[in-house]
Amino acid sequence: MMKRDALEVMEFIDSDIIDEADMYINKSITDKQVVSLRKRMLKVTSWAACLVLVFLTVAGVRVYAKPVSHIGIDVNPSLELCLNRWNYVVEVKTYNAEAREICDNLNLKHKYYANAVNELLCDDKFSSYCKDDETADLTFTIVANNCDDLQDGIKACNGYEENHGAIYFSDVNTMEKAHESNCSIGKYVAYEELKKYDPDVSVNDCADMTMHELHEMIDNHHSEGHNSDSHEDENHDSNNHGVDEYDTHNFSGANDEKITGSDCGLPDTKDGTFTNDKSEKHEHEHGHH
Amino acid sequence: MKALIIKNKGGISLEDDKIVQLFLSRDEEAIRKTSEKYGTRLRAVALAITSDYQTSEECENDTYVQAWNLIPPNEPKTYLYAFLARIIRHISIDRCRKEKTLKRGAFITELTEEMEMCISAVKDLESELEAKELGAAISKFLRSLPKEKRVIFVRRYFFMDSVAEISKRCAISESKVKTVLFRVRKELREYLKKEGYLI
Repeated sequence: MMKRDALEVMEFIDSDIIDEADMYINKSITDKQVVSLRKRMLKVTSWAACLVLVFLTVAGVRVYAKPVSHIGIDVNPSLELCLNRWNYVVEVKTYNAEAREICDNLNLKHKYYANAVNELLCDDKFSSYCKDDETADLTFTIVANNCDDLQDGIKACNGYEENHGAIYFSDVNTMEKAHESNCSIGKYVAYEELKKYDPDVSVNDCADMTMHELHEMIDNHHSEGHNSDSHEDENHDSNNHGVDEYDTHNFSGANDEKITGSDCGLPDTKDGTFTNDKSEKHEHEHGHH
Repeated sequence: MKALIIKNKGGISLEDDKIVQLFLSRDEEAIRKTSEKYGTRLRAVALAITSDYQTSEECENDTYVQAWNLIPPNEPKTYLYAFLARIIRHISIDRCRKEKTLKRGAFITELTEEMEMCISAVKDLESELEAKELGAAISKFLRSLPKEKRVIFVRRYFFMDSVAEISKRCAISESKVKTVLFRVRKELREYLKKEGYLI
């Protein structure tokens, strides 16, 4: 007689129970596979969403941080506000110790350009350079597509009229040359003007001068030119500030001329690239001189 | 008989009763059709017990041989898979016990001891009839259980899956599997005692 152990007894359970256990497990595997697939899909979707989010964030940050407009501000402190396409300040460049000292105490980045200019003009340190009408010329040099908007915004700032500000427009080529020479745009524009009268003058000399000094030198050269050219003397207003002379001499009729972004050599903000084949154009907008 | 053993190469599976009919008519095609339909599942049963792929293939082949010898007189037209599963399980357990190199002795002993917790006091099953009676009683008890518990028990003590495997396949924790097994064993013991199978 054969003896069976406890495990072997299980061979005698009903066939349908065996089949059920076999099928049930198979079904469980299917369920598990579905759960696993869902988990995997969830994981893949999450990663994809994260990647898209990271990509959008990086792209957004890059677009936000890309400067498309520039406002040079010169008195003696020379600085430049680099604006993104939404006219928020994304970078502040300083070109001399005075500007650095002022900007160290101010936080202009990520502010709307008008607020930044306003804050700058209201700053005690900066405004102290503008107080003296006899020795201070506050000039703004705009390199932008939307020159008109920026001009209006700057004009609306509190300290603009008070400090007898003046607005110039320049182009990308000039700005790049200025940057290469480590000079502010405003002073570089003045340097180019001065160079017409005095070929020996260097950009470094101009960078060390105040805007008032530069304008005065241009004015002097211009006056000398006028003295030798007597037929224009009658139209000259002796009360005009040096800047006006600089303006009227070099940019005659420019007061009513508005320069478009492409005129400035700026790109369409769509592609954000700077290209300029055009010759330099300037416009000088008067303050209260 | 070796010539009869043909590996599963795919094909249209026949109904169980037709396969059994082939066995009954001593048609060697019966082995081929059985292998096509149940080869993979049977190998999986053997593999779970022996934990050796080559041995499981040999067990599968032995199963076909034994099925050839057992049909007739048996005619498992409605339970062919269970019939074959019993054969391959028996063959696999025997191989594990005989071949020490498989190192499955401890596993078999562990399962036997677990089952003996509930049916150790059963009188020696010296006849086929007594074994069948006990099997029927266990079946009756298992039918009274919820499906999941029943399946876990059968997977453990018939298919001899590991706790981890049951846990993985049923998508429940190993501790839950162990708890279910312990409780079912206890309930089975009580049931067999009540039914008069325990001495």
